Amino acid sequence: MQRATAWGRVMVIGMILLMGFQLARVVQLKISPNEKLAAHVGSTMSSRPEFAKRGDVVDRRGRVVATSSLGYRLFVDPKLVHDLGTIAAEIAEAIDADPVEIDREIIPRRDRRYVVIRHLLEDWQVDAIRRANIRGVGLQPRLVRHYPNGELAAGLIGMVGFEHTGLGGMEHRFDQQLEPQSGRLTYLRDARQRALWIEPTGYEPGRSGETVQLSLDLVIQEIVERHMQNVVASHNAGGGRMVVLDSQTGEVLALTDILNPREGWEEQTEDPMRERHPALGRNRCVTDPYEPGSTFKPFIWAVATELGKVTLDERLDTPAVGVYRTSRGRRIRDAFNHGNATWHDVMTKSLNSGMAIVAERMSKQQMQEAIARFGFGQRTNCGLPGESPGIVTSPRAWNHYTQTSVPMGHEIAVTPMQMVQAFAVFARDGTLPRVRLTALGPEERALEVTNRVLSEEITRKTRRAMRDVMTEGTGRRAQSEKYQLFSKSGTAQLPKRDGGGYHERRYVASFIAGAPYTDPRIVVLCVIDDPDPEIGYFGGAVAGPVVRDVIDEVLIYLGVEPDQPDIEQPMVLRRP
Amino acid sequence: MFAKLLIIIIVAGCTAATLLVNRQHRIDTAHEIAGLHARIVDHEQNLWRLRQEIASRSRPEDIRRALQSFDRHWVSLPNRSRLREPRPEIRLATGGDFRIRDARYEADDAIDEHDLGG
Repeated sequence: MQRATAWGRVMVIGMILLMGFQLARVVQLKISPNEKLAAHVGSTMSSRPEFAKRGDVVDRRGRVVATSSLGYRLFVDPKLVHDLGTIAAEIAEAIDADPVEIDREIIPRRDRRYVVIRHLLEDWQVDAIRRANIRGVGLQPRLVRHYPNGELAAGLIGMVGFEHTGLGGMEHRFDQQLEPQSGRLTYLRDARQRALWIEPTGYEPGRSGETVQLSLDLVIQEIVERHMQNVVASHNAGGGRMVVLDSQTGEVLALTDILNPREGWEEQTEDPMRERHPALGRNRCVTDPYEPGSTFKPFIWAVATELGKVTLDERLDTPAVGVYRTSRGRRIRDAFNHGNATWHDVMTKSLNSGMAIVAERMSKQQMQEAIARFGFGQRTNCGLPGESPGIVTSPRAWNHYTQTSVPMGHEIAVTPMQMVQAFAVFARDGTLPRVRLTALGPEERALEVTNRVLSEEITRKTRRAMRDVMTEGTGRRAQSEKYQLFSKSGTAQLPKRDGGGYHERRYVASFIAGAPYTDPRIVVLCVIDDPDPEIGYFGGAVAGPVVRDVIDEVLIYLGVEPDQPDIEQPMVLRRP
Repeated sequence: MFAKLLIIIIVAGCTAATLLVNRQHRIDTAHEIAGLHARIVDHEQNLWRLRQEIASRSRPEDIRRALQSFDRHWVSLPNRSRLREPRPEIRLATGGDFRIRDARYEADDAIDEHDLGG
C-alpha cells in the first residue's frame, strides 16, 4: 500500500513537471522562437484592401452613363517562378496570347518582383488563370470604368485616367463626389492563408462614391447626335453644335458638338485633344463663341419694344430697293427688300435695315444693358470646363458701327449655351432660367430663384412675332406638321481667324426655336459651321429642318401632345 | 491526498479541453464570417458587373431598333388624347382578329393592356 502511494506521488509529480515544461516551451516558442523557426513563421497577420466603387453617373431617368466594376491585372513575380523558360508558354496557353510577346515582358525584368503582363483581363481569362494555378503568376484586382453608351455624349461626360480619377467633362467636374474611399481588412491567418480571426478594429468598410445624376436624357442625346451627324455630312459642313434645353427648368437635355475635318478647306476648326479621345476634346457649345447673326434680333427687338422706342404696327423707312443708310452714312443691306415694313415685319422678314433704324433710337447704355439683361458677356456657369463669356464690345470701344451691328447679331460673339439660356426667356414668362447640367431635385425646384428680364406682355408679343417667322418669314421651310414652333433663323459670315474681316462665301447657319408655341417645353439651337455654300448656307434652309425634326422626335418622346390644329392623331394596333 | 490531486488534475484538464473547444468554435466562427464577407464582396462585385452589362444592352439606339423591328406604331404613353370625334371602325381583311383603333380611345385603358410584344 505504501509503495502504491509512493508510485502515485511520483507519477503525479512527473505529470505536473511535464505539463509545466510543455507550458514553458509553448511560451518560449510564442515569444522568442529560434532563428530557423522564426524565418518560417513570419507575421500571422494579413491585410487586404476592400474595394469601393467610384460613383455612377446616370442620366435624368436613372440610365447608367458611367459605372465601375472590378477587373484584374495579370502580373508575374519572376523570383517565384520555377522555370522562366516555360512560364510564357503556360500563361499564353491559358489566356490565348502570343508567348513571344509575354516572354519579351518577363525576361528583361527577371530581377523584379512585379511584372505586368496584361493590364486588364477578360472574365474567361481570369477563370483560366485561376484554374491553371501557375506558381508566380498573380491576379491584381483593379477598378475599371465603363461607358455603356460608347461615344454618346462623350465630350460632356469625360473620362477617367489610369488612376481612376476624372479627366475632363462631368467626370472631372464631380471627381470629389464620385471618388470612392477604399477600406481595409486586417485578419489573423493560418498557415494556408485562411482567415482565422478579425479584430473589431481590423475592418474598415470602403465607401463608394456618390451617384451623380445629370440633366441629360440619353434618348434625346441619341436623337440629337443622329440628326446632327446627318446634316453635317449632307452639307459637308466643318462641324455642328446643338443644345436642347428644358425651358421651364433650365436643364440641358442634350448637348452635342461635332467637328468634320475636310480635305483642302482652309482655316478649319481643330481640336487635337479630341483626336486622341472624343471625351478629352473641348466642348464648343461653351468654349467657342460665334457671331449669332439674325438669331440675335429677338433680344433687341423685345427690349426696344418694351422701352417704347417703336410699336408693333409702326411703319419704318426700310428700303424697297438698294441699301439703307444710317444717320452716320453706314450702309445696311437686307437679304430681301420689302419696302416700308412694320416693326412686326422686321422680325418676321429679318430686316437688318429695320433693326438699324430702331437701334439708332436706343442709347448706347440701353443697348449694352439689353445685352447684359439676357446674360450675354457672362458665363452661364453650367459647370463645363473652359467656358467662354462670349465677346461683347466694351463700353469704351462702343461706337455707331457697334450700335447698328449688334442688333443684327454682328460685332458680338455668343456661345450656344448663352443663346439657349437667353432664348428660353421667350419660352417662359419673361424670366431668365439658370442652365444646368445636373438634374434638378425637388427641393431645388421649390427654391429656384429667377431673374425677370422682360414683362410677360412683351414676352408674349415677341413669341407671337417669332411664331409668324415660321408661317410668313424665314422659317417656313422648317415648319412642323405636329407642333407650332416659334423661332429665328440666322446666317452670318464666317470670320477669319486672324481678325482680318470675313471669308467670302463661307457662313455660319443657325436656327433657334421653342415649342410647342401654346405651352413651350423645350428650346433647341442648331449651329452649322461652314456648310458647303454650293449645297446651301441659309440658317432657315440648313439648320431649320434639323431643329424641326429634333423637336418633333423629342416632344413625341416626352409625351407632349401636338398643338398643330389639324394634326391627325396616331393610330395603334391592338388586340381586341 | 492522491485522489484529491488526481481530481484536481482531471478537472483542470477538462476545463482546458473545454476552453480549447470554445476557442476552436470561436476560430471556426471567425473563419466562417470571413468567408461570408468574401462571398458578399464577390456578390457585390458581380452586381457591379451586371449593372454595367445591363446598361450596355439597353442603350437608346438598341431599344429603338428593337421597337422598329416589331413593325408597330408606338405612341408615348403620356400622349393620350381624349375622345373628340366618333370612333372610326376599320376592319382588316385578315379575318377580324385585330381591329385598328384610334389612339385617342386608349386614354382610359390600363397600361398593361397595350400589346407591347410580338
